[in-house]
Amino acid sequence: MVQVLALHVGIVVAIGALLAVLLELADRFIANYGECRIVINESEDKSITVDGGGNLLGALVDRKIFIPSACGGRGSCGLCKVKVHEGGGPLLPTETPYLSKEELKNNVRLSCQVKVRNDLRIEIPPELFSIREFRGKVSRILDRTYDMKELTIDLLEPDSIEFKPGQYVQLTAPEYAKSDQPVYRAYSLASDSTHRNYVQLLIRRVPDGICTTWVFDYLKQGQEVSINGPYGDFFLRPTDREIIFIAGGSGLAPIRSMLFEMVHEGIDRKSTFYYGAQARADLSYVEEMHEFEDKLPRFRFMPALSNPQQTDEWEGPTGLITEVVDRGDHDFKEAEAYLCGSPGMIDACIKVLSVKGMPGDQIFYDKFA
Amino acid sequence: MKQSPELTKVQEKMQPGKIVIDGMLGDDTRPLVDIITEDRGVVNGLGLTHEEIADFLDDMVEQGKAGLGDPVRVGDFTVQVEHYRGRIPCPWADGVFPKVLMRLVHGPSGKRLLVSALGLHMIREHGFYQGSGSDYRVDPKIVALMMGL
Repeated sequence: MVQVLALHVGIVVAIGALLAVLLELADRFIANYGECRIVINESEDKSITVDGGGNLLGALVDRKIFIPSACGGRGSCGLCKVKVHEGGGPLLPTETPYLSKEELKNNVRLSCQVKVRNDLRIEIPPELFSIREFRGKVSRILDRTYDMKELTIDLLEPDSIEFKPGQYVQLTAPEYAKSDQPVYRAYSLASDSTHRNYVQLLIRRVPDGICTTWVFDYLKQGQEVSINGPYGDFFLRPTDREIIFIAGGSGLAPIRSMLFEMVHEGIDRKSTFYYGAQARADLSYVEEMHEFEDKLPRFRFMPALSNPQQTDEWEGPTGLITEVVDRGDHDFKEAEAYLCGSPGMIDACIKVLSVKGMPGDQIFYDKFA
Repeated sequence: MKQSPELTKVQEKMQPGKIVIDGMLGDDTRPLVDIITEDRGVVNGLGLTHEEIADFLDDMVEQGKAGLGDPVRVGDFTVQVEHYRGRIPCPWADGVFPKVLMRLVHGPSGKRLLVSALGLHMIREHGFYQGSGSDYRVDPKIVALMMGL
């Protein structure tokens, strides 16, 4: 009896699955939605007309409007959010786990899950219009520590980039032996923004990470790669306040880019860079940071080790980076802070800075999230 | 037990190179439903629930975060919690999680566990402890031992 019941359930499930596949195929190859108008940010200039049938993310990317996405439109990263005010159809169950109540209220959708079947009215952050896709060639791969590499990518097409120091790009890891699909990962630009024909990224190996395994074990000098960007609103604010930079690990990347900017722009603000690491082997760019001290007379580099090894012969500050910042001699109420690193480190530093009297609107950060 | 098409889809996403480089199943080739069912039996036999196991590990993660990436002592344990850039989706497609990794060492027994934020979620919400042979396998018996049971 149970077997007969199971057989019937199996047949019903199989028929259901077959019908779903047929519907999807029919939708893809037979249905003709004609041309659809996508009105973006209520602006005629920014609006586009596309052939209906595909998804919104793909339609925007085809017109060189890049929405950040880590999974390439498979609905698994939850990053490609845009506001869809009209024409997006019903919210799908594949979207809801990635959307907060606030986002649902504000018509936020995952653009990879929204089908373009009629005219749409959408809203995207204006800065995304300046995002471009770049083809480049890896001209240098340098080990900065045992688990951190610096990539230098010479830009081929377009052959130059404009970015604000502190911003990031997305690097595409193509299909390779360990992954049958491309993935896209965000990395801060570590380079000097006045050198527009190349970019540098600082990449720390993620255990079992698909992109970093490709970078560390498969990517070769001379290989062509693809990046898109720049993204983000983490950049130096044009004030005269003292600056407190705080970073750990590859969080140094955007700070390095900002220091280049300070040199080129002649920004002579009092500034201190607290760079936290466990042991000397985790520190990178130490020499270069001390060179910045020569170029920027009011800049101090303050590397700190939380767990120095005997062989490190370390005479600098020790302790967690929060403790070292806490001991710092600054006018915290008046200073500005720029933080880059793990969410745990950033949250702990914000707590210390707040206790010291720094207002929240003077704290800027780029969380590894 | 027969596996639903939904669970088969989930199992496909657990293969190497889909979400993580080495996958989530280790060398366990059984259907996902069997892996989950067997672990559920073990957890029940220990007098525990998935939630209690997840709560214990979650508490360790929270205490380990105080080290900002350095190992810290928590009672009989050494806990190291590291954050890496990016987020990772659950194969059940019910959320994305920060790349947080806890290395947990139990001093008295010398037993070790590697637990990710996603791994914790999969234990709590889906009763999935990862396949045998996976570096991220959270054997419920080891957790019970660590809990002093």
